[in-house]
Amino acid sequence: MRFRRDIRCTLAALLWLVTGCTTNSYAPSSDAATRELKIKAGDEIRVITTRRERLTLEVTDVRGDRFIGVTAKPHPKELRPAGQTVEVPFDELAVLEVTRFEKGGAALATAAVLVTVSAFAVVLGTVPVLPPGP
Amino acid sequence: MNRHLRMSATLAAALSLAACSYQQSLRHPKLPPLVPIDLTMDCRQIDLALDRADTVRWLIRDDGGKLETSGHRAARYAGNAIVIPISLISYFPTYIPDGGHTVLNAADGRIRELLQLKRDRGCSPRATALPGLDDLALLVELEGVQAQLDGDRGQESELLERRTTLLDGLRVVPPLGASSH
Repeated sequence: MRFRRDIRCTLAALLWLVTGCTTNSYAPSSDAATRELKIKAGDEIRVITTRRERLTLEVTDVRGDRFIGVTAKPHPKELRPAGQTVEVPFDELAVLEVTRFEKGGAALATAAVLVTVSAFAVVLGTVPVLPPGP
Repeated sequence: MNRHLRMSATLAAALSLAACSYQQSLRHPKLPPLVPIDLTMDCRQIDLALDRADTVRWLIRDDGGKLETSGHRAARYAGNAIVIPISLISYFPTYIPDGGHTVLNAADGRIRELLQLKRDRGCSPRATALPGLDDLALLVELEGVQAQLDGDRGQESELLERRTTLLDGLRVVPPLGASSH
């Protein structure tokens, strides 16, 4: 009994982790819109600049008008090698993609999955199974 | 009936293959049309907004995005009417995507609105990659093409191609490495 409860807790924790990671892409229309994304040091972001340069960087500092970071392992079509220090001024930023863990979304998605699975379990558990015929 | 099914299946397969050329290297944002606050932009801000919208559009095009005609759209809907139920039954949900039409069309629309705003503001035109055409002259051509599309006049595929060619050449982008960051 305790073993089953442990499995359920582990599954719930896994679900919470898996469903909490969301990747969002933005096309901020102004510096203020960029600041509202609340990118902070430590975030890994992918950007496209208005000079049509693709970059993946780990943000090390966010100044009033630019991101400063270090390039990460390049994705396809990215030209800069990993480990370069780069500055991305907000007014050159056209597209920004960030992957984040969102606690609220994770909790909601996990609860939805657990409720659905539990409902199925209850329904299946109460459906009478006919004994095999003669 | 069988003939219709076979045709739809073939068309769906062809559309699926065509959609394979469109692979998002990162998620393509759908650009919104202009809102009232955008109408307060000055000329420098309009050019900046144009650069941003054009970059989003370039990303979509670079990843293989294309506009689809109404005929292609109808065929895709018909294909999806078959593909989606079958894929759900086989526990492998899938569908025929639009090949980037929705996001590309939104970007085209925003760029056109920004160019119109730029003209209304009396801003100075900028050179384009198309010889003998600045961005405000390009807008005039673009509006002509769009008027034909909206009025269902002319060959739709040719008009969409013309619109794409015009907007592909909107901006002269300096080569990478020419700047200091």
